Amino acid sequence: MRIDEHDEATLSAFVDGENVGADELARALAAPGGRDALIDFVRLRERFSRDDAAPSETFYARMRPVLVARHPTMNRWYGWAAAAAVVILALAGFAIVWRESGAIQPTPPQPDRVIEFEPGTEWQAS
Amino acid sequence: MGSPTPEQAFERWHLQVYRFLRRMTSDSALAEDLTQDVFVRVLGALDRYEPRGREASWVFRIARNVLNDHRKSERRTPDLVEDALPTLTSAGDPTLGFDLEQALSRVPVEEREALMLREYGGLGYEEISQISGVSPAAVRSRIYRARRAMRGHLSPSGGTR
Repeated sequence: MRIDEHDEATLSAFVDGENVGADELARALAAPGGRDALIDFVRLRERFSRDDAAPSETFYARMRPVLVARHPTMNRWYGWAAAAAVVILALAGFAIVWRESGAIQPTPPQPDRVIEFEPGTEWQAS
Repeated sequence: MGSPTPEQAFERWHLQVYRFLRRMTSDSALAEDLTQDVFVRVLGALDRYEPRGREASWVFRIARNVLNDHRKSERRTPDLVEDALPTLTSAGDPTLGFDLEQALSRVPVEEREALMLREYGGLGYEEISQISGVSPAAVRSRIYRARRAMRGHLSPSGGTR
């Protein structure tokens, strides 16, 4: 007679650290093939824990900009830059409206001397 | 404990997420693409992350969602794994760890997923049940059946045949 499914499932859950009753565990271990099943489940666990597969360099190169863009410092910088841009645009808009409303008189400055060029005069001579 | 920084989240989980996806897809390049998608989502959601449960559970839930979205986009039948086997035998990707991969190829997707979430995510049955939408008893059964199917590939020395 071989270990039944319930006992084998008990051993599998035990390997995973799940709650298993002591009597249930004792019965599973005492069943024919129970000990072998437990050892095989532990071996499978070891096999997965030895998996050292890692992504390629290309993957890390692709991820770098994603991580930089999500960095909190960068986010803060982007936040300040956006706030500054909004303030500048608001001030520029306010200035334009103020000027268009006539608050600023666009009068040119008064000249303090007038230079006139007369035809026939050699103006380049010292 | 608050939200992890993007670097912390990436450093903690990217290898395990990649291995989970690689075992689920049997394709290294695809696993890299999907891992990138996972972390784009993870990093984008860090601000909204509420550490009520374990971080691993949250990250692997996203990984599973990304995998499911990919399956839907590929219109693959989720219950069949036979389509993965020709890739393994004909393409023979040497980086895949062929023996373990071959053993896994005979495990139905739902059982394989439960086992991979356990082995690579370190998730408990309750956490896996919440991610997969089945009862903890069903998770226990799936993991056990996956292991039983893989036992046949174990050599007496402890490696996989």
